[in-house]
Amino acid sequence: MTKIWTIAKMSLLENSRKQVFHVLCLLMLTVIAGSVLLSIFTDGTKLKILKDLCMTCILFGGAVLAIALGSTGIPNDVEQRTLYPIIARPVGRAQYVVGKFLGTLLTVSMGVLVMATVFGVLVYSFQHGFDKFLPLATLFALMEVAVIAALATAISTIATPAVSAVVTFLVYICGTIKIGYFGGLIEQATSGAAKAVYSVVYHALPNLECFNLKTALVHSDKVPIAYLVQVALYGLCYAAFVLFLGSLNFARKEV
Amino acid sequence: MKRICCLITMITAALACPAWAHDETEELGHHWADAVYTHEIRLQIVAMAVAVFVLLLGSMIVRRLKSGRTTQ
Repeated sequence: MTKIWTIAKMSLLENSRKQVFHVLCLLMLTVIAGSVLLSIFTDGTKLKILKDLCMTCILFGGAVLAIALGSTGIPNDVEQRTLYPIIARPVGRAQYVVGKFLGTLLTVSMGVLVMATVFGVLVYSFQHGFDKFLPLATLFALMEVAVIAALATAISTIATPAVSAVVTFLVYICGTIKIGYFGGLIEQATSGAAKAVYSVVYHALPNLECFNLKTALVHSDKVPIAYLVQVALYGLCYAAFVLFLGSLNFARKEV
Repeated sequence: MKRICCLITMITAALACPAWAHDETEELGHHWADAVYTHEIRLQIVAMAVAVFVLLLGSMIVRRLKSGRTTQ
């Protein structure tokens, strides 16, 4: 555990110095802060649009950060040869992959927490009270980030940074519209082979939509606790499973 | 390579836009009220558990076979 934590800290330091992290965080913070300029709407509508826009920024910004940082960590270490002194020590390959993932997750969490804090302050100033559902919605956004970071880290063990970023982005898009779009495609498919292919892709894709609690936050809807527990468990299982596959592949890889 | 990857990403994002704008937008986002999501979550957790079990069992069998060969 100490070895994983050391690698995670190293990765956190490395990631927090990257330009992409600063630029994306600043961009998302600008959009969040700029959402107060929507003064043409009435107060109730303004608050709903503010929550919608800020939550979208947190979800999308977190996902893009996880893709950008997760897909470059391991390939950069291999390219710059900083990986060799690490694996020369008694550190398992799986520990290295998990450490890299944790480093990425911690870095993105820092950015997401800053965005969520600004968002919380804005909501407080508009509705003169704290939204109790906001921390929960942010926590589930972080779980989505964890799944995407795990995917990016696992894919980066077999592909170059550019390819792994594109593939993870495609998985992110498809995972976000999985049940609404791919579910319909399976029903519409006429041939058996097409149906089988769609089914395999459908069940392999992560169900990222379930981490999105934006609608519940905007409309102050109640979400069943049993459902939230299931989603949290699912997020943990999916991230762990993807990291397990990534570690298996990286353990056999010649570097 | 980077430019090609960026181009593919932009095209895919543009193609995916109609998928987000599907009908029944009132129901969109209330996934906790839809049984399909719960069913899919459970199915995927079971599938992942089975996959891990099969992988571990497979690797155990391969190791035993290898160690059996070396002792012979």
